[in-house]
Amino acid sequence: MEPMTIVLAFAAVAGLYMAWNIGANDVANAMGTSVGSGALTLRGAIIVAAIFEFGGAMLAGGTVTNTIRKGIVDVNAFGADPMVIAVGMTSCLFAAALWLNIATYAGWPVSTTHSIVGSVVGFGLIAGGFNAVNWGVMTKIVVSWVVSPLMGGVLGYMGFVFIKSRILNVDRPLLALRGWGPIMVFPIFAILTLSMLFKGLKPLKLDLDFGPAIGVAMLTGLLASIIAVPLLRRVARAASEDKDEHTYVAERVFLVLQVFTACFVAFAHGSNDVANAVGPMAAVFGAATGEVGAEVAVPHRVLLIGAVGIVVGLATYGYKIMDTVGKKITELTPSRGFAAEFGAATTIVLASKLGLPVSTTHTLVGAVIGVGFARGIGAINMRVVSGIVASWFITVPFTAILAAVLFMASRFVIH
Amino acid sequence: MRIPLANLLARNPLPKVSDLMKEVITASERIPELIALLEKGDQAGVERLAKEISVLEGKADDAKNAARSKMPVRLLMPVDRRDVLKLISEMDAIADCAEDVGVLLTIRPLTVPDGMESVLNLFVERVLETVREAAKLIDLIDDLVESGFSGPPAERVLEQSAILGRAEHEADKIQDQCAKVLFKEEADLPPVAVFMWTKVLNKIGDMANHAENVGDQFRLFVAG
Repeated sequence: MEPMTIVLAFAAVAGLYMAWNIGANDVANAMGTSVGSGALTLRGAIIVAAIFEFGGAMLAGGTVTNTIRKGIVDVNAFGADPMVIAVGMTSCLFAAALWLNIATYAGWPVSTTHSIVGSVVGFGLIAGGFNAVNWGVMTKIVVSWVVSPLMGGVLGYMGFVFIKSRILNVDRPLLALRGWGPIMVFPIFAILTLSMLFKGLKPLKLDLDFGPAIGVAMLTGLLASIIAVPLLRRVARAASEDKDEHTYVAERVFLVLQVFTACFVAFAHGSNDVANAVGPMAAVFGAATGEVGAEVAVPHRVLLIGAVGIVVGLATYGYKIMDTVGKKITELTPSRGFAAEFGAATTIVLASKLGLPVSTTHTLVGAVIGVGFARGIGAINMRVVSGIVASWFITVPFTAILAAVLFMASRFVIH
Repeated sequence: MRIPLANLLARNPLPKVSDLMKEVITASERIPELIALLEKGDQAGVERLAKEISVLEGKADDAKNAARSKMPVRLLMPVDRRDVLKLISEMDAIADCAEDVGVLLTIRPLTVPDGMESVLNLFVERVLETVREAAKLIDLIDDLVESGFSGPPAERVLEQSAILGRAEHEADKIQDQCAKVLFKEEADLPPVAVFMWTKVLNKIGDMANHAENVGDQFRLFVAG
């Protein structure tokens, strides 16, 4: 057998394992808020996740995939031998997946994104030297890790303050919701559509420029708002004068709205995190066919491996974690979950559009804390936050060293 | 398992405060009975009931510790953690005072001075009324959390705090009357008895004072 075939097989296995990890762990974290509030059943969450994760990866995941594939390291610095990239990226996948496995076992809140970025940097340093790493891109990525939870937090805070003052705490919450509901539906659908359209639908040759994309997004958002008007009117009419009943029904409406934001989160996660498995795999497959530096679309078979891995991860292990998350966070009411998910998903979609691989879980944690600062949540354990910050300082160096060691070892074996 | 979101959301410690209030009320509600036994001159009954109140106060202490143990330093809550701890100690102080009243009445057997009985009963009733108004505030915690500490539940808290404040003021006025009756009889009473009665009246009055402080803590919750 040719060495390249063996490497390809290894890459597929490593990519599958990485995708499994993402499906088992990350998706569960992303969807957990919806399961916890009761917006989605366990089965519903898995179906939503499977559809929108896949959609996000296929339609909007290209930019992040490219950043991981050749934005962080300069692929031309490794010389003419495609084997270097193939072996290196396979090592990266194994290093990241191994670290995730250790972290999962120990209960550390590390990020799949940080793991893969760290290992790609480690490989780049060893294979091509200091200048092979694109430090400008790397700095932008690291800054985005701090900025994305902050932005998620600010959006979550503003979202809940708005819901609190304009809907939950007025005399007739349902009448307020009848007015504001359609306006709240608008940005969800507009941003979702925009991220799909704006240079997103490349595989379907439907990519539009910014101008037309914004127009179509506005129209979709408007259409969703118009559909929401009669639905909310019917809910508002059915309610009696009782204030408590109003509040109760208003939360039920948020339950429905939260299903939309859950789709939004799954889409955002797919667009950003699936690339963690697909990006390096795409680089390996690209190298195998001799397209090292060329601008090629991610092969569909690679995307398929990523999608299959995620769905298998969800089905075999993710439901377990989601069940735990759902049971543990029941105190997050639908209005709170809505605010947090909307803040997080908007941030992640924006970051993916800029080609910045951010951590979905960390951004969602930031958004939940934002809602907490708006006095929306009974108690938040800030110890988790220090764990997350600590993991920033450990994950990248560790996966970098691990990837470098794996790369050197496998190069030694092959030669 | 790596589940940051599940670990992030801790159980809300505020409902534990309601458990403490139940114990405080149970202990305080025995005070009218204690005073009735004193008025009957049943010293053995007073001793027995004082012991019972002491046991109830112990239960309140347990509830207090349970509530405190749910509040580690690294907890982000919609209210300042120190304000909740202050609230807990004010509630606990109500039960402590109830226990002290029992203890004072057993240290030195006392008889109720002439003409004091009716005004004393009224005083105890007013103090208990104040404690009950404080308990109504605690019942509002769930609504407060649900509304994010603003809106109509916050307004209800301010109204209830005002009612509580007036109740305490009423109790204060009756306490002054009790003291007046006591000092009217000072010539016929042993000085030590006057001294002890002053202490007993102050302890009963302190129950209402601490109950009023509960209201002040709630005002801070809503203000922040």
